[in-house]
Amino acid sequence: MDKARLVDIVVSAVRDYAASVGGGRVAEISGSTALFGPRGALDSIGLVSVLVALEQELGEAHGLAVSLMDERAMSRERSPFRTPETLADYVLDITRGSVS
Amino acid sequence: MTAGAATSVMLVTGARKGIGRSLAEWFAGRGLEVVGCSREESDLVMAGYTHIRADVAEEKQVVALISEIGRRFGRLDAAVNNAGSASMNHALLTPGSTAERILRTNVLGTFLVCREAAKLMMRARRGRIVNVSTVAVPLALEGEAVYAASKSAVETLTRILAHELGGLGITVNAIGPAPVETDLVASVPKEKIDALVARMALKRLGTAVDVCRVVEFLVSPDTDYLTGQTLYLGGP
Repeated sequence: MDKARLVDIVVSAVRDYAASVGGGRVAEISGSTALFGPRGALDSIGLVSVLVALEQELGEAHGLAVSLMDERAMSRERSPFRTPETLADYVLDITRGSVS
Repeated sequence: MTAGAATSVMLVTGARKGIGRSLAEWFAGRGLEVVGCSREESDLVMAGYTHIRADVAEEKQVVALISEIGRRFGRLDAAVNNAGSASMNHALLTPGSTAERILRTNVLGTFLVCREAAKLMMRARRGRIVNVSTVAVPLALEGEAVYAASKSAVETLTRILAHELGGLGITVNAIGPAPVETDLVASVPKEKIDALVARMALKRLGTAVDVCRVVEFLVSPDTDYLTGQTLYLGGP
């Protein structure tokens, strides 16, 4: 799967969550949107919800069994969950086995 | 328990015998789709009951179990973490391997089922998780150091998960039964049981029905403002 498709999947997951909780910025969410932090699109429970939804989507629809919240993600100097684009990069890293 | 138009789905771990089997029969008999799991096959055959072999202490098996429930039913309304392991013995005579087995089943198993069940429940933004503790925790029963410690962990897990999952519409509570006549307590000497019952407010052993009634209250869709609590039976 290429990065553009992964970014679309992440953006879709973020939009779905934002819509489900009545977020007002659903249409503005893009690949470069900050996912967390003071101006982030998600609160803490929202980030968890999106990551779980993403794992399920990748597993059920695309046959990619990934665990996004393991020690590898937590030990990085910069969180891979900053934006949909960085998250897509991280999924690519995991699925290519380049993260160890 | 009828949440929404479709039949509610409940998972009961450790459903092959004892309290777990009683829970499975109780809720399947009330019209729920009950999925029971245990390491071994079950001989329970009744409408609304499905048995899946799974060891709750094995992460991959728990993931597969919940995935199977998602595939078959598309929802999970309630999960009862009943699977448990015990060994009554003086702490000085308890092998490390026994302690590890108890902790794996009772603590790790409960955690894994909570985690995976919540992932399926959060799709509907509602769910009920009931963990099983024991009156051995408040009574600090001698001979049950590891077992009671594992259930203390379950109670702490319950309180913290209640906070972490509350925003997802999922409540997490625990029930602490008094001794019920099951295989788990069959190996405990009668005088020990009698001494325990003497310390309870209500002077009798518990029954499976006592447990079923309280679990039924906790998993009810109407019980939506109660979470993070451990309800002890019999008044320890």
